[in-house]
Amino acid sequence: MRWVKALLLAAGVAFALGAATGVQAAQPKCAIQAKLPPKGLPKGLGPYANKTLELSPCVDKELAKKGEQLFEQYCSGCHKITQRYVGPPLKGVTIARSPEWIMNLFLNTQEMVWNDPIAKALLQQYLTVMRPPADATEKDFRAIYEYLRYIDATGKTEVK
Amino acid sequence: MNKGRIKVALALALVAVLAFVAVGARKTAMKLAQDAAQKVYVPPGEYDEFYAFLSGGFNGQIGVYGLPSGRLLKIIGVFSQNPRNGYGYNPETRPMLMTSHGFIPWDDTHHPELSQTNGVPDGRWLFVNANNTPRIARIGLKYMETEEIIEIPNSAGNHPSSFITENSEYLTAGTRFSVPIPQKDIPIDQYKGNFKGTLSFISIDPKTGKMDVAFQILVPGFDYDLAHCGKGPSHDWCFFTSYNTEEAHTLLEINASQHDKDFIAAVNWKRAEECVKEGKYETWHTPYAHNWFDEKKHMAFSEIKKEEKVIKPDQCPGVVYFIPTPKSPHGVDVSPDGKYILGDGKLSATMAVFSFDKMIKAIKEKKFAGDAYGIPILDFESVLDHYVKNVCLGPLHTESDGKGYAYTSCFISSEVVKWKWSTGEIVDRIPVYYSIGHLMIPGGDSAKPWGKYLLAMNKITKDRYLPTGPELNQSAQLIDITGDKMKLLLDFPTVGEPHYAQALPASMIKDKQARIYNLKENEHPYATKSEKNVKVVRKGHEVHVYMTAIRSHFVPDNIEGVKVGDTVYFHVTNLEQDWDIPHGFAVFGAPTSNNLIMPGETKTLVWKPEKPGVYPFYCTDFCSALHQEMQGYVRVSPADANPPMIWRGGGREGKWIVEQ
Repeated sequence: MRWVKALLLAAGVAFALGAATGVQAAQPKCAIQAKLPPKGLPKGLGPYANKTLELSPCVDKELAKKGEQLFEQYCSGCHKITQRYVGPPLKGVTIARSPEWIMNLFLNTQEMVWNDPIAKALLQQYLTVMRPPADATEKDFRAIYEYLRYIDATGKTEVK
Repeated sequence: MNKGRIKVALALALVAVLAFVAVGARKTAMKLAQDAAQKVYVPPGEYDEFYAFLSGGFNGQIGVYGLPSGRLLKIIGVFSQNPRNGYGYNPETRPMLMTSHGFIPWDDTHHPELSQTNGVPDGRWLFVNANNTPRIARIGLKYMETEEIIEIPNSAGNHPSSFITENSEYLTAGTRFSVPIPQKDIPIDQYKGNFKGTLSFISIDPKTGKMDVAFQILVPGFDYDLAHCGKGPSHDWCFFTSYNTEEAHTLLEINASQHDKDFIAAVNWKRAEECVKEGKYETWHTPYAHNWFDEKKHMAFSEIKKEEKVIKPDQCPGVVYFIPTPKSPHGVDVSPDGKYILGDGKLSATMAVFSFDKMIKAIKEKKFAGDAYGIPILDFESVLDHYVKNVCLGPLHTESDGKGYAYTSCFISSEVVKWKWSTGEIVDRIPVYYSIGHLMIPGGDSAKPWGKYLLAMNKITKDRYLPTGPELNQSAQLIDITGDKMKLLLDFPTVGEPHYAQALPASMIKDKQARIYNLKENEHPYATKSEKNVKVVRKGHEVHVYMTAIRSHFVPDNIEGVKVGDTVYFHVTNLEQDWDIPHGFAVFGAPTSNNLIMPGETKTLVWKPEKPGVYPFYCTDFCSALHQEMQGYVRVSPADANPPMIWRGGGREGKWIVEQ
């Protein structure tokens, strides 16, 4: 009976592989098509300095919804979308900056404003160091980033 | 050579030798100073090895210091209002200072004690007593804020407090000033026999830390001074010193110093528990306050309780014995192994070391030398193990290094004396400047001391620092106790009058420190978690402003519609969620302190404006480059006016919500 087991196993593996490649091959059309930043933008300093944050061409609406709540809670006291407030307006930020640069600003703020040329210039302009929430996780920041992507893709601030 | 020349030559040689000696001595002194400096130097950006918690005495606070540097890290408001952050001023924390005598904004903190597990500080809580209006406070070591205060009923002058049992079962409390118990109006010269003391045991919930008055033992009207509880073999016992066994009521200085020996009261708290279980107690109804801080609601609550279990020793035989102790003893200290009990006999140059085993034997064999109001007095010689002879003048307190040695503070001769617990042999002395009260070794009253440093807390400062007028801060001195000889390392001034202190290795609690209050978990009923939710609500003559603060603006920052006769509540929530970005809040003319609001926290400032006008408010904590711009205005109109009820701020504006 051993060969039966082997056959079943092989069939299983083949099915799994097929399913996996199948998903990639049959990319569904995006419900929300993201506007991706140009390649080669500076990545800044920090955990994402030598990494690539792979972006899906589609905006993850569910993640953006979570990001909207977190943005409201953590960011809205200092940032508006189209107007200057304590910090810069955020419309277009996901096209103007690389995702790695934004994640580094979230996760490594102090070093960024000391040593990254773009962050340094922003600090000179706005004069207040960004202080992301101490208890937020990398996943939370990724969700906030997705919300900003949603705004840039749709021009809307409410995820619906 | 003529004689004159020889003289000159000799003189020159002498000068040279003296100069050489002087330079040598100076070099030695400098070398010593350098050695000491190296031992206390904590380089910039690095941390101290120990957290030390020093009581503030008449300043009513706890000071948190780093050792060995002596850096002052924080002042924790406990029994006194703290204008720095609004503790005891704002409505959130005022209930912490409620007592059965009403709101009391001050007290005298004496003896901090860390919670213990198996006789060793465990880093959960710090307790401290109030001496004047009897209370015990619990401080949480995550937020380093006062979380609970319990009043001690049927007491006065809560000095032998708050000492802990080996597994944090109980804290001690007691009457330094005996009074009529229960209180009544009687002539003071009827003290003898009519005034009483109580020795109280405050239970601690092992999970939450919540305190309760478990039972109180009614004892004769002596002055119960200090306490320490047993460990190991003596686990079930706590020991309280007493003076004024003469029961004097005036000029105690002389009249309470007549007896050669006073008493240590040895209390068997396990026996007391049995008596409580068997119903051998009376239920009394003296009111006492119980106050606690709800960490989620950011708010304190106060209740008055009215029931306590009072044990009378004649109804519960075996609960308390008196050990005669020379003379007007102050401290009572237990060796780390729990085998020896020491009475630090303030007015005696010789201290008595008692043996716990001998005490138990004397009790079994009924070796009594009479009784005091029915409480058996143990035969002194039967309990005595050995003396520490001619220790010093004015021995007050003793701590241990965990290597078999004891260190006694001596107020009158102004020194610390090192001696051997097992034999009483004196091995070293060091002078301290001046007139030491308590001393503290990290874990020095526990089963396992971290015997590296000793902190002398001195009562008299005089010329130790640059003079600052007649009033001087008290002075602490750090002593290295790692070698055979004690070495003075450092002087540093302390805030208030530290009586006792506790310390533990920083590594035990450093990483558990809270950095923010999580905004998501903020359940303050008036919290505003987003600028979107800002509002102003009128309820009759009450105006509630739901305000937010973030660098560097308040929302709202313009408020119009307040009238004379209104009470305005500014409920300010700090929206920041990163470490160390507090915002402050103060209103011109408001007769209260500022509030310092930590990230994610909500605090309220209450103001009853009395005159029409426009009043500025501002952030009191320099929070950003635009901190100076963090300001706003409240317009106050006459009582009979009809101003528009509006607010502006954060690019928004709104109308008040009017509720009936």
